[in-house]
Amino acid sequence: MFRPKYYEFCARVKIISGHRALEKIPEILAKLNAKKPLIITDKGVSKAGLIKVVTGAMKGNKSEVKVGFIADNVPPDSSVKIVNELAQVYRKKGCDSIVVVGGGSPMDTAKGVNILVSLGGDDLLNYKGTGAITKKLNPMIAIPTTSGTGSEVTLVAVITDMDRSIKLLFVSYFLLPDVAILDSRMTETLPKFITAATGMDAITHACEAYTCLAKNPLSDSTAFFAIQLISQHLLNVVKNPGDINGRLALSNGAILAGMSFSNSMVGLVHNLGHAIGAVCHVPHGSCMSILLPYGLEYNLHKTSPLTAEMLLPLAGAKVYADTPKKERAEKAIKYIRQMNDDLYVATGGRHARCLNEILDKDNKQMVPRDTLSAIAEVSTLDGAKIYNPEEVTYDDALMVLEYAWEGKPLELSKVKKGGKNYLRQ
Amino acid sequence: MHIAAYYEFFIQAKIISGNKAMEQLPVELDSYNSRKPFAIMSKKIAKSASGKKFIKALYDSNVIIGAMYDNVPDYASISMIKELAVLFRNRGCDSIIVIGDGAVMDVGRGVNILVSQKDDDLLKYAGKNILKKSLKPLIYIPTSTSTGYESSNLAIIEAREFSSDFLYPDIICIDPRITVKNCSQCVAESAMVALTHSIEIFAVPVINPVTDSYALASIQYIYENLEKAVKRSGNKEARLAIANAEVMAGIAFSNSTAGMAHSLGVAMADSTGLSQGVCMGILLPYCLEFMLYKKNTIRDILLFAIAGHDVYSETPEDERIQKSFNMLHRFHQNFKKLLPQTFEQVNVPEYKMTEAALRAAGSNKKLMIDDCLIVLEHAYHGKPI
Amino acid sequence: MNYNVYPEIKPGKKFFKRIYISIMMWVVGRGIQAAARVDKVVKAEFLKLGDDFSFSLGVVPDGPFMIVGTNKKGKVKYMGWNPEGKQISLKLCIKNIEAAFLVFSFQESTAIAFAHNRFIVDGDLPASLSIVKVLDRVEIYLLPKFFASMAVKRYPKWSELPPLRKYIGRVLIYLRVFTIG
Repeated sequence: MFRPKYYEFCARVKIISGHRALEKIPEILAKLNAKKPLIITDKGVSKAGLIKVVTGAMKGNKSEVKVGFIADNVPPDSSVKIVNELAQVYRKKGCDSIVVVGGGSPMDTAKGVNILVSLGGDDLLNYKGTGAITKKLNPMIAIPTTSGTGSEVTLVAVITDMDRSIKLLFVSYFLLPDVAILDSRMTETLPKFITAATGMDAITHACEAYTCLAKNPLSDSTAFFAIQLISQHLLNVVKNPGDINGRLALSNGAILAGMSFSNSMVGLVHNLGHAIGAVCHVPHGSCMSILLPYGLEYNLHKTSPLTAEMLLPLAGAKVYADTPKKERAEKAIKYIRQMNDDLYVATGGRHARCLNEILDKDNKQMVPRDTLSAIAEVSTLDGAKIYNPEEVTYDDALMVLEYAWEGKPLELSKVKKGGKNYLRQ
Repeated sequence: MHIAAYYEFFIQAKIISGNKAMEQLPVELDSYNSRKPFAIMSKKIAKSASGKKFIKALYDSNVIIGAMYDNVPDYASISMIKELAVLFRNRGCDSIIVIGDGAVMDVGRGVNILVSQKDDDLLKYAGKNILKKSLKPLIYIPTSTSTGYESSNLAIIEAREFSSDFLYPDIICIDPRITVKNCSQCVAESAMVALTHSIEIFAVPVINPVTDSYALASIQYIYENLEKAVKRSGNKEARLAIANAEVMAGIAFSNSTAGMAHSLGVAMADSTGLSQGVCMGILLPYCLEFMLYKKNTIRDILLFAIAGHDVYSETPEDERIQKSFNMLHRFHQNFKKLLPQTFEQVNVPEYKMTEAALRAAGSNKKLMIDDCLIVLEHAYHGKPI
Repeated sequence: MNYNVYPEIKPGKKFFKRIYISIMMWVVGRGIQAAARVDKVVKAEFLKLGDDFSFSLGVVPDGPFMIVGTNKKGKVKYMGWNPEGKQISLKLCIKNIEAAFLVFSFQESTAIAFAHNRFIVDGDLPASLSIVKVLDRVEIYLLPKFFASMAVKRYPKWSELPPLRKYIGRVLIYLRVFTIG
C-alpha cells in the first residue's frame, strides 16, 4: 500500500443509502433543527417526476416539514445570477434549509446559495477562493440524480460569472452538505446516454484519485471499491435500466469516487476536461470518459504500478491473475477503452469514444480540430495539473488533445519525462 | 458486490496524518474561530516529552493554550471532569485538544458537554441522543494504542454511556512524534483490537462500501506494519501506520455492529482481567472459522486486504476464505512473544469462560451461549474448528 | 485541584527557522525581479498577468512575507516584506513555519506541498498557476541542478534551456539580486 508522508482526509457528510432512503428526510431535517426547506433542482429532474417522489417522501407521519419553495430553473451551468436570485427566494420564503435534487449544476448552485443565506450579503464574489468561508452554513441535504459527479461529497463549488466569462472556484469544508441521500428511485429513469457518461465520470474520478500526487490509503480504498462497483454494474445498467440494485451500486460507486478524489485531487484528465468544457461546452462526463485512457498513458512512466493495480477492480481477479505483471497497466488502459466501445454500442452511438465523435443535439461536431489549441491554452490556467504526477505544459496538452481527437492511443515515446517520481516507494 | 438495501454512514472527523501534522492545527482551529484551546493529556504519555513536542508544534501561531492538564488516569471521573470544566471557563477557552487514548477522550468529551451546554450536571446528558446541538470543537491526537472508541460517538464515564453524533471529534491529528511513544506490548494489543474490528466488518451481512473502505485501509496498514512497529527500536513510520489503522478501525466499527469476536473478547476481558487485545487476538481466528462452519457469509475481499493484489487474484475463489484464516493464524503467531496464543497459556479457569459466554450472549443478541462455549473451548486448547 | 499548577502557555517563536525563511524569501523575491528581465518565460508570464498585478508569498499569521508585483511602468519589482497597506491580487499563504521550512529546504517540492495542503490560496486561482511556473523557473536559475530538481516536477532538458543560457542567466540574476537589481 502507498504510505504518503502526510495526508488529509475529510468525508464529513452523513450518507444514507437505500431503495427507500428518502423517507428519512423528515427525521434528518428535525435533527438539523430545520422545517422549511428550499428545494433546488432543474427542469429535467422535475419533468422526470423525481421532485414529486421527494416531496411525497417528506410527508411521512409525524413530519413537520413544510416545503418553502421548489426552484427548478437552475441552468446546465451554475451561474452567479441564479445563485443570487435563489438566495433572495430563500430569504423571502423564510426557508431554513436546502434540499438539492439533481446533478452537478444544481449541487453547485445550492452550495452557492447556502453561502449567501448563511453568511449574509448579496454578492457571491466576496466569498470566492479558499479562505473566505469561515463558519458552518445552514443545513443542506443533497440528493444526487446522476451517478455521478460526486458533488454531494466534495468541498468545491464551481460557479460561472457570466458577465466576465470566468469560472469561479469556492473551496471550503463548510460547503459539504450535512447529509447525502442515495435512493435508487432517483436514478431509476436516468437515460442510457447520461448513465454511461456519468458512470465514466465517476470511474475517472476514482482512477485519477488513485494515481495523483495527493493519494492516501483512504482515498485508495474508496477508489478501489468505486472502480469495482462501477465496472461491475455500468454496462448492465445501461442495457437494463430498471435494475435498481445496479442503480444503487452505481450511486454508491459515484459517492465513493467523489470522496476519493475530493481528498486526493485529480490531474491531467480533469485539467483537459475542464478546458474542453469551457471552450466547447461539452458535458463533463463525455470529456472524462474519452480522456481517461490518455491521462493514464501520459502518466504511465510514473504511475505504471498503480495503473496495473487498478486492473484488479476493473476487470476482476481472473483477468488480473492471467495477465503477466508487465502487461497489466496497458491492459487496464485497454479495458477502459473497451468499456467506452461497449457503451458506444449500448447507447446507440451516443457515447463518444474520441473527441471528434462528440456531437450535439443537431449532430454537429462539438470539438472541431481547430479549437484544440484554444483548449490547450485554457488548460494551462486550470489548477488540476498541479496534482498530476508529470508536468503539463501547453505543448504537452496539445499533443494529448490531438491524439484524443483522432482516437489513437498515445505514443509513449513522445511524452516528456520529468525526473523525480514522488509515487515510487 | 451486492450493496445493502439500506445503510447509514457518518464520520465527523477530518483526519490529518503524517509529517508535521500538529503544525497544521492552528489554521484548523482558526477555521472554527478558535484561538484558545484547552489541552488534556493522559498521565501515561505526559511522562514522555510529548507535551513539549505539542507545544513546540504550536510555535509561531496566534494560538494560546488556555491550560494543559496532563494528569488524567486510566478512568474518567465526574468530579475531575467538573473541575476541568471550571478551569476551561476561567481561562476563556474555546476548544478542546485531547492527547492520548482511552479514558482521556472520555474526560475530554465530558468537559465538552459541560462547557458547551453551560451546565454542571453531567449525568443529565447520559443516554442516547440527548444532546441537541453541536459542542465546542474537539481535537484528538492519538498515540499508537488507541482503542478505536476515541473516534466514535460514544463516551463511557463512571459506567454511564453517553451516545450522540455531537460527541465525534472534529479533527483527528495523527502525528509521528506522538505515536512513537508506547510499549510494544500495548501497541500489539491495541492493534489486535483494531484488526478484530476491521476484519469483522467483512463478516457482517449488511454491505456498506464506505465502512468497507475504512476497514480495508486499516487491515492493510496493520498487516504491513505491525511487525516493524513492535520491534524494540520503535519505528516512527510503522507506529504512525498502526495509529492510523486504529483510528480507521474505530471509525469503521462505530458505523457497524459488534461481531462475535468483539463481544466475546470484551466479555472475556471483563471476566478474566486480561486486556481486550489479548482476548480478541486469540479469539478472532476461531470466531471466523466458526462462522464459516455455520455457513455465514464471510466476504473474500478479506484475502485482498490481508495479502494484496497478487495473492488474492491467484487464489481460486473457493479457497480464499480458508487462505485468509491460515494467514491470520500465522500472523498472530508472529507475535508469540508478546501475545498469548491460547487461553490455556494464560491459565484461564473454565468457570470464567462460562461467565464470559453468558455475558457475551447477554450483550449481543445475535450470539447463542452454546456457540460461544464451543469457540472458547477451541480457543482454550488451540484446536482448529 | 490547584489550578495554578496548570498555567496558560503562550507558544514561542522559532527564531532560526524564521531567519532562514526570511533570507530565502528575500533571495527568491529579488530573484523573480531579476528573472523578469533576464528570462523570456518569466517575462511572458508576467505579461499575461497584466499590469497592476501583485502577489504575496508568506507564512500565516505573522510572516515572513515576500511581495512581488508589476509597477505602474510595467516593471516587475520586489516590493518588500511587509504586506500592510499594499493592494495584493493573489495571496499564497503557507500555513505554518515548519511547512515553509519544508518547502524552502527542498524536503517538499512546490507540487507536493500543494498536495499536502500546506498552502492557502486567496485570490485569482489561475494566477497562482502562473506564479508556481515563475517560482519553478527562478529556482532552476538560482539553484544547482541537484536542488532545483527536488523542487520542480520536470527539470528542463538541454533543448529547452541550453546550459550556456542557463549559466549566463544565473550569473546575471545573482548579480541583480545582490546589487542594484
